[in-house]
Amino acid sequence: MKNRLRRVGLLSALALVAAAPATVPAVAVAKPTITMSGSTTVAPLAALLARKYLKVCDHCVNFKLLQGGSDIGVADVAAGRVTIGNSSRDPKPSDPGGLVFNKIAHDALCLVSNKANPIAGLDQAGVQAIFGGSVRSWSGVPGAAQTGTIDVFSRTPASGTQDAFQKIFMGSSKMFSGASQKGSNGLVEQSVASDPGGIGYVSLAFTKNVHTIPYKGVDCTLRNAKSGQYGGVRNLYMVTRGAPTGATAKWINWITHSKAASKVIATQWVPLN
Amino acid sequence: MIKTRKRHPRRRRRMAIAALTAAVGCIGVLSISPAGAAAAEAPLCGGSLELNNEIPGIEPPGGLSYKFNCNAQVLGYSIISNRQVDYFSTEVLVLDATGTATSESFACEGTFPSSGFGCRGTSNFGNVIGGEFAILRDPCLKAKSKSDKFKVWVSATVQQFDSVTGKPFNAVTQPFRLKAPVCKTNNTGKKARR
Repeated sequence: MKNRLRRVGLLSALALVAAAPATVPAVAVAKPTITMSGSTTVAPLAALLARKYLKVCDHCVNFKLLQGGSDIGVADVAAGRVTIGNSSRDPKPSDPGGLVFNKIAHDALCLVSNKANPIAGLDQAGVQAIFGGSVRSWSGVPGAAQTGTIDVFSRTPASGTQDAFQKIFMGSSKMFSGASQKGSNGLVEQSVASDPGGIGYVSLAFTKNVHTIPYKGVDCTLRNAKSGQYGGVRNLYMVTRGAPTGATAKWINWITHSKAASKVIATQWVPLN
Repeated sequence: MIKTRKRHPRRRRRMAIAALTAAVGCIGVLSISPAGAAAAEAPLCGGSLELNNEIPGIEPPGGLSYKFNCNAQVLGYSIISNRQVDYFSTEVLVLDATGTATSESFACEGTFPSSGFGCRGTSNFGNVIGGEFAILRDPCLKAKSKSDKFKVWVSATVQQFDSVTGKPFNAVTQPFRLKAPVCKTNNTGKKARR
């Protein structure tokens, strides 16, 4: 009887979870829950940091991690829907008032092409020509192994990566309107990895399956980002409504001040210290 | 004379919770299929787990890689474990049958620690979905009892086609168990019994 009950309980719990793929039952304990939404660049870092923090603080909190893009995170935290809005872009004048952008790390933004088309390097003018749409064929790009049309992959407007790319690489130049907009770093990585004529830009943590293009003669590597040599470095933030308090303050303070957090960040991102 | 058996209050409560959860789960599953949809052939899915001690930022033990595929287009899935999950990869890549990258991927969200997480995206017929997660306990620790054995299930939301009208509809697969990882340290060649 006990076994049957256990089986019924397990199957019914599975059925419940199967009915809503994106929702998962949380551990029902009276602990504060820190909810985060937003940047797809910050999400993998937040997941790694949360695992370490749970060990360090002896499971003092629960975490709920959602994505959606930096603008979604900023809008969610401003509306009080989440505790923290993750953002991979700097504050904008159009952001709601009362938000505090807590800087947690730096990230290298890499230009990427297909591994079958290992571009030797691009300068800012080259980036602006390709991503602005004035050069549409690989035959117009020095050192390209491809000859066909350039397939430009960009990010959706809600993306902090898009905002950072515009600021750092494009300046006042406009993005090519025919670029294929993707919703996450992973989607851009996969698109470029599966298209020999593809080019895009992703966070350094998403470069495993693609060729990283040196920018202004400097490779997009963690070492070059840490040393300050690589020019495509941006800030990552955890945005709160007002100054963080309670469990959220402890969590952000741990990220920005502890050696354990720095060690986690240094695996694929650049710690503040 | 009909014999009535007196049930213990705690057992009754457990039965009531199990029945209620089952009912809610069934309503959730049924509501995804359109009313009157002719039964399409149930999609087949399968996959496995592998120990992964090389996830950047994850100190071993506890790291695992998972991969699975279905003979239908996958639109979302849940990973459920009987061990507490305290990390999952937020972006999951999709490869085709030859191992070549596709332009498909999944974004994962959820709570940790918890029993699992959910992912949304697209993977076409037969393509392989592969991601990572970590559990609190070493997956290769010997199980205390048979029921303590480490298990992981996947339930996928797939697109199916009505066999009469040909119209597409979304359905949820039966939970299927991922093949356990092979623990080489203690029991060479034997599946993990945690």
